[in-house]
Amino acid sequence: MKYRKVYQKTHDIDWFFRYQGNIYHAASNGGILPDLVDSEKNRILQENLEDVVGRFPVIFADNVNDIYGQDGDLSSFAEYASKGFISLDRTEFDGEEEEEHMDDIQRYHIVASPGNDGRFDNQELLRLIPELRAGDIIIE
Amino acid sequence: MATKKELERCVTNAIKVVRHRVKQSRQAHPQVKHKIKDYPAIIVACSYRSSKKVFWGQSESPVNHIYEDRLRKRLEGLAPIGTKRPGCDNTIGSCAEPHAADLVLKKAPRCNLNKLQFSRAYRPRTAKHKRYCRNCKDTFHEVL
Repeated sequence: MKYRKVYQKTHDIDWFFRYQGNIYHAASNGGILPDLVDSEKNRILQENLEDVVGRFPVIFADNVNDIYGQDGDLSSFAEYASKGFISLDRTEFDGEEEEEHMDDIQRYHIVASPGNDGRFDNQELLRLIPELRAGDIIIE
Repeated sequence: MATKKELERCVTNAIKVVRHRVKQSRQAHPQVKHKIKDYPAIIVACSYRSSKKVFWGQSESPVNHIYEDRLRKRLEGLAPIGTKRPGCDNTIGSCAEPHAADLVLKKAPRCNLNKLQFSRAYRPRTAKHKRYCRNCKDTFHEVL
């Protein structure tokens, strides 16, 4: 089942994917999700991942202060990175002229990653995480 | 009268409430029927200038939501509720601002729309403030 479009546009949904051997968490930030995201499987993942204990050190991307400022709260991204996910956020644009084309632009940037080559490895949950196709989103 | 500071305080508390709800929904006991929640994209606080009461609203679907009459007319002046119009990517009536204003107007029926005041709009996940969208600026053109 898919999330309704208006729900996607009004919510900041945690979703997950695999791509080129890495496991990613992404915050949708009110953007449209790729077709591969199934709402039922995604909710199972959200629920089960809440209980996973983070065991990896967290490495923030160099530009997070420029994007979120000193007081931006990045704990949600850090939490998933500590569990072995490369954590992404959907990129926002400042210009008003881009506001009406946001649906067409699904660009994400890395906020936090697991250190020590950490990688989420729960095989049962990994089976629920879909594989991203090239071109579904752009990772900057 | 709620000051700007009180509006900001209300929305800061609302961010905590929203985060707690999301976490709680994901930690609920599996045997108990519960719904997994997602963060709303945006929340904002709103009050009426002569009142101390502050309400907060979040971005959500306008489908099946009955807006207070004057607010509904304002929104419909842009385009039918639940549709989009050129110049803004958001669906009419889906933003946190009309949802928060609706709570104020339903509690204070004599309140004028030009006497509303809003906090800044925030993304609860990061507590970072965001600019108001074109739909909201046009709906609440006297105050945003």
